[in-house]
Amino acid sequence: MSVTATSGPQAARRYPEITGEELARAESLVGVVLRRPVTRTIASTDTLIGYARAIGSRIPLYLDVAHGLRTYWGSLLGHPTSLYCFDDTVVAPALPGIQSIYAGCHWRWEQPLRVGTPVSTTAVLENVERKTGSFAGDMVLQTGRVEYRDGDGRLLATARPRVLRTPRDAARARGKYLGTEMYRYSAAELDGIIDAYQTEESRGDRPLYWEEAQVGDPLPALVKGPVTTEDMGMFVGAIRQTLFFGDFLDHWRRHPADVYWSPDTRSPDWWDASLLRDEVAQEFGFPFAHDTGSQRVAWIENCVSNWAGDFSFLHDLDVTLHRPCFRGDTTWVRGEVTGKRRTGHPPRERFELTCSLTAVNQRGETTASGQAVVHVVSREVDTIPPVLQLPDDYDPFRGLPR
Amino acid sequence: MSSSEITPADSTSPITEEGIARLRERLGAYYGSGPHFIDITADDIRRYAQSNGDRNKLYLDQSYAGQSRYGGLIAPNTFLDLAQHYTATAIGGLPGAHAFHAGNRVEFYLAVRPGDRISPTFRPYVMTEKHGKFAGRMILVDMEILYRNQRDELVGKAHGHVLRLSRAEARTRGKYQAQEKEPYDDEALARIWAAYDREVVRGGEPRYWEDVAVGDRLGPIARGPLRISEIAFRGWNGGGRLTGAGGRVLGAHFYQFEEYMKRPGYAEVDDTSGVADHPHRGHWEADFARKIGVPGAYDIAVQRTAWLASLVTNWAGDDGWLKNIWDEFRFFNVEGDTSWLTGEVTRKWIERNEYLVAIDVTCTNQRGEVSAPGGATVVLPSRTGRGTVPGVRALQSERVTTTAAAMR
Repeated sequence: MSVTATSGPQAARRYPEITGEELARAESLVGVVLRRPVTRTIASTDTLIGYARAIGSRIPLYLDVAHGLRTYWGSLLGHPTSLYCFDDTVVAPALPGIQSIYAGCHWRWEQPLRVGTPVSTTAVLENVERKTGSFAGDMVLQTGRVEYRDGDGRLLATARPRVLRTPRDAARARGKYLGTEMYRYSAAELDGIIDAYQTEESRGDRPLYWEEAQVGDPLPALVKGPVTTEDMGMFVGAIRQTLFFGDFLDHWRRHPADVYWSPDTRSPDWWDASLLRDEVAQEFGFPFAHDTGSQRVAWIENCVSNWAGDFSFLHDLDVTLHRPCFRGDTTWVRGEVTGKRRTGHPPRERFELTCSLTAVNQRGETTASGQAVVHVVSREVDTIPPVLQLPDDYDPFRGLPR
Repeated sequence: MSSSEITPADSTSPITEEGIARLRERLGAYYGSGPHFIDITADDIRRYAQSNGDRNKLYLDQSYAGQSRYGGLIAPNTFLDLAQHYTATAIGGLPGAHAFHAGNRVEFYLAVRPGDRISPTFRPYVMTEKHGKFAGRMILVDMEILYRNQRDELVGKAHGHVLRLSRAEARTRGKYQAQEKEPYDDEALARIWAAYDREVVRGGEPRYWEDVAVGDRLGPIARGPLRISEIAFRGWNGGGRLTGAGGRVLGAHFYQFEEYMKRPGYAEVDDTSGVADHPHRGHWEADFARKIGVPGAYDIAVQRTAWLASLVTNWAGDDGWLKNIWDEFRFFNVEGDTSWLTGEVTRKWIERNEYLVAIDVTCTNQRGEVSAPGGATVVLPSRTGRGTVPGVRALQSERVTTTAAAMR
């Protein structure tokens, strides 16, 4: 792969470095509520079902309106991570021209997302940290906080995303992943994948009882892949708002460093094209088109939700992404129950199961890992859904806390 | 099941006599696909309008639209394509034959609003055998699509023309092999960007029928240089559907395999990974596009219909109504191409109490090729105050008045 500086507008193939000045500017934005593009405002049936299908989910609670009505939620729900549709959580202000790579996210859900819920979001940058690594040398890690609220202002969930800012020239020069070759699957491997799809288990409306789960229990494995540009584009289309034509032009004029200069046409393009096209990804050191990162967070959530079923509530999920997932890669998500805990007192008692999760690709590399906390139902206190219990600070005269 | 069932080893031409006979049997039969959108929201409408570069606030801004004659947000008329693609390729027949959208004519009767539920029914009604330089023997299928809303009102009607052909044949013939991408110089880019800045949305200021003269010109407006994200994310943005798949709600991973299992020969295997992949990926993967004889990643043809519609609605203002639009896709519009959209008023007349204007619309690329010629009919308000402009349902109060009048 050759890297040449052309004489195009803005010296097309030269990207900025991390400067002290820009870093200071990023730090100055800590705590400021950021202006974010509005992708969606209401959790419509189509948005929720579209998202579930875009992550390849097969859980009826998130796909089938009639099934949703029969569950005790009384409604089709959105996948916990479907909140990505309302803000993609890439909180990476300042440092123009430095690539943003999603490094992980800590999700905490307070309420299920019911169909029809209006969703509003606020995003702030919480922390800026210098990092060093083999991918691009000097890097910056930005930690954000995105709050999702429903129409009454009640908190649905908080996401704490981590975004790594990697200088493109340095990443390309180091070429950490550039030796990676497109994986060639044998017929047996492909058959194994198809078999895994066909035997995928989803608990659905059979409750997962606290009494029956034991530490060490495995979660049913989940396969996603081999991913194609089709899969990646569908996910990005579900969660983001691409800018088109005049809107893109306006964006480029305001943020001249935030575009990719296509060598073919010598005209600016959107960086999201790296999810579809290898050459764009190669500009910042990835050999092939890649996933958004948040996509794997969604797959891991899908694995937990498959196992937990309709009667459980996923409360907390912290995923760290270790390596990129490229076009053609297959991800196997596996998990194991690592802890059982009862907290609080009746009637607000919670039955918590914790599990550890990993995402491993077909080369045997661990591309992501995480932990989840799931509230499940207990045989002891009847099947009361954990979320419907009143929170500890409930005051009947003031209503639910905001 | 196994991966070998997805792609049969034998790859003879998919345009077979049995396939043609099978398709012929389906002519005239109606197919229903249920609503693709369960509930259309303002988000879906805004995202669709934005994906066409349409900046009319009638589609984007609830409070602005509330002041218009519609009394609320409406969708661009061409939104119907998301409810069911004008080509409706889902009728099957000729498995493994590629489908290219060759043209369409769409009529619009009522505005689509948030909360609407559109149920399409469609039928193939004519089949014609064609021979061309691009892929030799091709089958042109004409489809009729009826769009009804939740009140069973006919919202629109489309006639789509879809060309079925052999990918392998198109690759071998290589009609467009010589077409090279020409990089833009700064001046050319500046001219395109200036066109975006000059693009006028007439909006709330009525354009009266009396003020229009035959020979009046529309545009030019520009859409380009076309970027792959503008092609690929266009359909996905519009509610998570990719238009190339007939507007159906698709899915990733398992759902892709499920589709390929159901339709042997449908997937095209990727050369480098050996993985079955969707045949419409030529819309963003240039290498695959060349494999099927197209010079580069190519647009979703109906984008051009939407741009031409924007040209007309920008000009007509919110008080006019785009009654119908037709266009033919003569050349591929590939990544990097710039489409210049222009129009000219060719006729003015009054018919059935509607003050009508006919416009020739044209989509021309930077090479000077007319990639989509077409036409549109617009209903405009009259200075006389007479005439009706369709698009809105008769108000409840009007009905009451009429009933009351009848009772007197």
